[in-house]
Amino acid sequence: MKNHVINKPTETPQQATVAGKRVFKFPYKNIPVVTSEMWKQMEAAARVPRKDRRYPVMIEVPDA
Amino acid sequence: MPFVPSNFYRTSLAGLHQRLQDSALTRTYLTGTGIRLDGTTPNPDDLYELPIGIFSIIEFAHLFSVFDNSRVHQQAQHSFGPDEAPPGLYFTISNSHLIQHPNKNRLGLYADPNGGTDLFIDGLHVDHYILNEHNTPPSLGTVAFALCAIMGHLAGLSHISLVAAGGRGFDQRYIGYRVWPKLGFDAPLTQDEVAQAPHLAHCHTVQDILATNAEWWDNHGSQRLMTFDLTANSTSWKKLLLYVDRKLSEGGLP
Repeated sequence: MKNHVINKPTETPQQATVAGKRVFKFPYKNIPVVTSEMWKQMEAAARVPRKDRRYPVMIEVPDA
Repeated sequence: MPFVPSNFYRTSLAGLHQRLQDSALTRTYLTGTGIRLDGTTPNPDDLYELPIGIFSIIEFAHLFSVFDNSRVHQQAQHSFGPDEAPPGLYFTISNSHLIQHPNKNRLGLYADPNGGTDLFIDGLHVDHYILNEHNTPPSLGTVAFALCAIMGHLAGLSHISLVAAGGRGFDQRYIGYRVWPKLGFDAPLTQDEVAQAPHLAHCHTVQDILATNAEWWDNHGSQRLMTFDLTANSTSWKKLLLYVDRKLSEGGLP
């Protein structure tokens, strides 16, 4: 399911409209899309035990 | 810059968003100050043009959990990373106080094909995320993640992904497979995963199991790629809102 309400295609260039403010631009150029095949590859890789990998940690253990 | 809020944001997230923004933790650690971005010191009124919109420094800091006084480095990643992070636009964050040395947090935006010619930035992947357990105040992780999720929803992202680690057959130092689902992350079950548990035969996802028998998941669950569904009224939001509400009601969120 996609959050289409306010999502915008990256093909539409955006302009900084506030004059006088510095704008840092982070273009998304030439970065491949994540296809369903790539997603399956990520899912499979996540199931392979690895000792050399640091995984995301939420240090607060939820109490419920 | 103001994002156009969804109806779901107005009815279910706005109040919490304001409370989180007003919290002492946010006003102490997530104000967008003292940040160095690829060697540059941003001004408070600078703007950040990402493929999903134009952000103020505070919005940028909340989306990527950039704590005050962090150094941030941007990277365009064109193929899978060493830890199987998908191609995307990543931000690596170092903070000598709050991020466990020598680690750096790393989060990035990635695009899914939309079934047509449009390219949609849909996801935020958490590649690395580890806070310093000695220096991080209680609940800061919860506050930072809730702000990240709310900002992601406002910006139109559909999901947040990460590898929830540990569990049966995996590195026992990690308990992410138990912790992240309690914050709303979910994943499909593997084939025959509940074959020995007839009372879970109806379950298709981790959240299905938690709703039926959470203790079973604690004892038998295991590592996998999980996602937090940022779309309106998702199971992920229900879990996260309940959890943060509980923290608030217990006075555990300064």
